[in-house]
Amino acid sequence: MDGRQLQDLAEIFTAAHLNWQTVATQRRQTAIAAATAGYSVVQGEKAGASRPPKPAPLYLKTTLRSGSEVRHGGDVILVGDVNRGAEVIAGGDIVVWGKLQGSARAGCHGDGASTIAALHMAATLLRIGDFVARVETPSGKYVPEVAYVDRRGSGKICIVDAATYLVPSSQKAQPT
Amino acid sequence: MSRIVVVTSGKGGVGKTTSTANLGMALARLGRKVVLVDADFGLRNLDLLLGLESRVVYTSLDVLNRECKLDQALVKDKRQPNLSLLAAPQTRNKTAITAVAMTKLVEVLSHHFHYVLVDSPAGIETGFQNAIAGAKEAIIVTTPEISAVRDADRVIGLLESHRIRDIKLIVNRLRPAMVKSNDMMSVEDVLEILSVKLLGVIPDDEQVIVSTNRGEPLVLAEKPSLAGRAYQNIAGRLEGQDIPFLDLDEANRSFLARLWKTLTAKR
Repeated sequence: MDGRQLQDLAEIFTAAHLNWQTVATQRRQTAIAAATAGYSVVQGEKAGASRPPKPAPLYLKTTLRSGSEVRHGGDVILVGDVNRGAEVIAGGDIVVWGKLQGSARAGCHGDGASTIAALHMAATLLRIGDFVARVETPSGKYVPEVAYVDRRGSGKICIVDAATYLVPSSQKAQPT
Repeated sequence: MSRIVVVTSGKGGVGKTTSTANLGMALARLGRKVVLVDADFGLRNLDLLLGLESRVVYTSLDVLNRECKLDQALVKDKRQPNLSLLAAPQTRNKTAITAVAMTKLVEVLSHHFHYVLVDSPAGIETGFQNAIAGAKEAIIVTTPEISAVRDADRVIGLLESHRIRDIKLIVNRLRPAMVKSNDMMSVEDVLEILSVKLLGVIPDDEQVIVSTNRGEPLVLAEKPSLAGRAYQNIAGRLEGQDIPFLDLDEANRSFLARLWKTLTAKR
């Protein structure tokens, strides 16, 4: 569905005194239109399916305000801010091209190798796989940072400058 | 073209009703025909702030139930004939009306007035949904407190999902001295979070309490206080005038200077 169709549907719901809050869809286009219109979005999770293959990344250009939630089975790329009280939940990685002040959950199906990257990392709560990190005092640094699970060392979620974050060698593109 | 504007905030007690009353009165004084609609069913206050309580006979619910004509329910302000009030029923609650009925009501009103200002109740439930139903634009009122700003953010999100894109902000009850000493969020801090257009800043002012109790909006005063002037300026900005923001801090200093003058003159 596109924005126009969503709007038509919203009018029907309003006429029937129904309060529309969440859009669940398989299509990326619909998810983008719905998120832009301010709805919470659930994408790519088929009800009843055991473990669907990881869907294509979801690319969104919007600010998530308090109370809204984006849920997607694959990676999520969000151009805009995630305000406090908003939540992003992804089956894969999360990239926020803006301020991440709400909460983010990467690898929600248990993938501890997922990462959360943001231009300004000031999240209230970070979750990667089964790991949880509370950010008591955001660094206040306006540098891009990456959160990942340091499985070789501390076994906890670490946040480092994006410039010093190294993609694990197994995932690096091999020069030929 | 008439404008249907909802005044809302999410959090209670931040100054929605005070702002509605003062903006309505200020716009009416600029020569526009204004109707104020109290959408806070069951907790109506707007008539009190305008000093019109004793003149409310019919409410919006009576109009919708066809128990009276719209003209009969509109209370005209004696001081300012351009200003009318449509009161909310006090004996019913928010579920007494539907969003569809509310949309119809404000649409009919918009044919007779330049401005329809809807005073929304606090919260984001039925009452809020009804209040925003017919609105084409919104004024968000917030105070420089983290809780009020968070609720405002939530409300902006909800307004956007109802396709109300024209959203402007009033920051109410600012105390410049506290901002200076880093004890209060600054207007810039609030704007950074909410990223909507700033309509005006109202300083914290004891006169607001006095005016509420007397039922006389601040803007009616012969020499309006700083808050009253801020509301007049906001009304001008709504009318499209380019009015610079008041320097609240400087006003503070000039007030002290004035005080000093009177003190020294007495000696």
